[in-house]
Amino acid sequence: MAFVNLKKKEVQVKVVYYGPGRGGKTTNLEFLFNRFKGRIKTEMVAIKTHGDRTLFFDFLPFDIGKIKGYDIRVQLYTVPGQVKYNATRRLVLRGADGIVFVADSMKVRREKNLISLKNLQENLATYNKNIFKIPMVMQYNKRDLSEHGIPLLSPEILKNDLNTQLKVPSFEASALVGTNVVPTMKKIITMTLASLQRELK
Amino acid sequence: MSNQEDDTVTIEVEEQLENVFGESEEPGDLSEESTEFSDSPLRDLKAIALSIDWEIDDEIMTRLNDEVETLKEKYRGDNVIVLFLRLLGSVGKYIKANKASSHPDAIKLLNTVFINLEKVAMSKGMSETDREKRLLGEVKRFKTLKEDIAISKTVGAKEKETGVPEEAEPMIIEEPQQAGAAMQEELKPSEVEEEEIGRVPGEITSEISDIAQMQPHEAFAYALDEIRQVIKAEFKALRAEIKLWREGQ
Amino acid sequence: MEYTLGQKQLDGMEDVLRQDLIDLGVHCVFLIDMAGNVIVNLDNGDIEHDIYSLAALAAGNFGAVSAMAKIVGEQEFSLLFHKGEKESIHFSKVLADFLLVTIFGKETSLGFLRLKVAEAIGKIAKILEF
Repeated sequence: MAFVNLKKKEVQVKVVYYGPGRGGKTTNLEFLFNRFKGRIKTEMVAIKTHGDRTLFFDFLPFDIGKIKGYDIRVQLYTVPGQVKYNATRRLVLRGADGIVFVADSMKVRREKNLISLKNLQENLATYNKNIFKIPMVMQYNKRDLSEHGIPLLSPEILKNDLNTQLKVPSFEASALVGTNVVPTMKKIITMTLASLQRELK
Repeated sequence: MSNQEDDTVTIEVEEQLENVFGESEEPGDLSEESTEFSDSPLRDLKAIALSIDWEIDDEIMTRLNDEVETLKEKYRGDNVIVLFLRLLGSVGKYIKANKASSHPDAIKLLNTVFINLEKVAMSKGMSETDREKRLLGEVKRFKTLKEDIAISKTVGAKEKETGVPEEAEPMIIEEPQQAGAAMQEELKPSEVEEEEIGRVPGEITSEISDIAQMQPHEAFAYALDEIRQVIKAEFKALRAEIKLWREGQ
Repeated sequence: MEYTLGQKQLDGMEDVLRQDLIDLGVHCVFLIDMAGNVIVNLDNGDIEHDIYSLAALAAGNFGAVSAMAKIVGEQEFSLLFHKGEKESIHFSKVLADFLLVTIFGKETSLGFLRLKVAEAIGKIAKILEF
């Protein structure tokens, strides 16, 4: 949940990157951290397994400056994608103000995307949050793999599978090389703050 | 090569010797004390002290008091240990009565009293002088604590007068009584005749060095007198406080 | 969902934490929500920790331990505390949505700290509920 500090004139918001295992959630944050290291003063926290898979969460906080007189502090989190870490996912999702769903464009991952989205809906519901109402952006990741001859799902199929009902903004991206990583992040922050402003009124 | 070996051995031996025969006045962590306790009469007391380190509640403080009473009986002939136990009992009662409002140094005192009691009780070869030195060290800390408590309570009463709200206030009159009552117990000189207790004026700090030269019964009498001085100070502060409270009514 | 805290509330909570804990000798104390946001943050002047990362991890840690408690049939564990050589950390829940995290050294006894924390939490809860 967003916290508005009237004393410091500061707003803190939490954005969670969700999606199937190995889909590129952590890569999104790593790209942002590496790209903006100079501007992001704090370190990125990553709790991983020995196999370099997210075990608990990744965490990247940064300030985006003043908006309407308030300092905005954004906290980006990723969840562990593997199915067995559902309890952890639910935990990290607590208090989320915005979601980026990082879908895996690989054909073999089609089923996993669907399961993960359903899982997101269920976990949000445990906090009485509606997946249709929470600020959300869809990212169709790993588009760059087509250059390597790996069969990918077309954006149309991905949209059909994942975004027909939700109808949220979507981006075709490649987190590894950085394509559309920043636009995704900017979009979700804008949407989250807009939603927050509406609620505060 | 043999020189290097010698050096390593020397270092190890020195370390071992320090471990066995070294003496430290540091309060330290109770759980780090490595004295053998399996058959010691202080075993239960130590368990209670470690428990208090983790959690302070009525149950454990009552157990502390009960154990102190039991040990007073066990160590009946040993004046130094009995006095240590009385200190422990008194501080324990204060903490039980005041809980979160206790002066922070009270807990520290509980620890140092216990650690020194442990050393005195478990070190068979310790001289009487050393034993009394440790006891007097704790009495001095006890005295300082009581003074600090008395001062802070007088300040608290003054604040009440000026209308500053304090939740602990309703207890303020009872607390000194309870603490005072606890302190009174310290004054019962069951083993020492009244006539032997002489007035020893001046600050204890300058006299600690003289204590080594005192006879055992003199040092003991001195300790008792110190406690008596503390009680007097306590009652003086209490009277001042009651006066302030009455004026505030 | 969001919540707002005003100057008076934040000042009040700062005062409580300063008087009850910092003045006791605690090194650092911070109040956070379960999402990992930092609400109040105080230290004894010698601390330069990355509070935001600590907050995120604390919320995660507490959340994980609470989930474990439910699995073993407990409502909650009454003590969450990590002991270090020089620095130790104590966690305590405040109402349903907040967490008080205290970092302290060897000079502070855990037992006494727990008493002071419980007292401070009572006062803070009143301010938050207001």
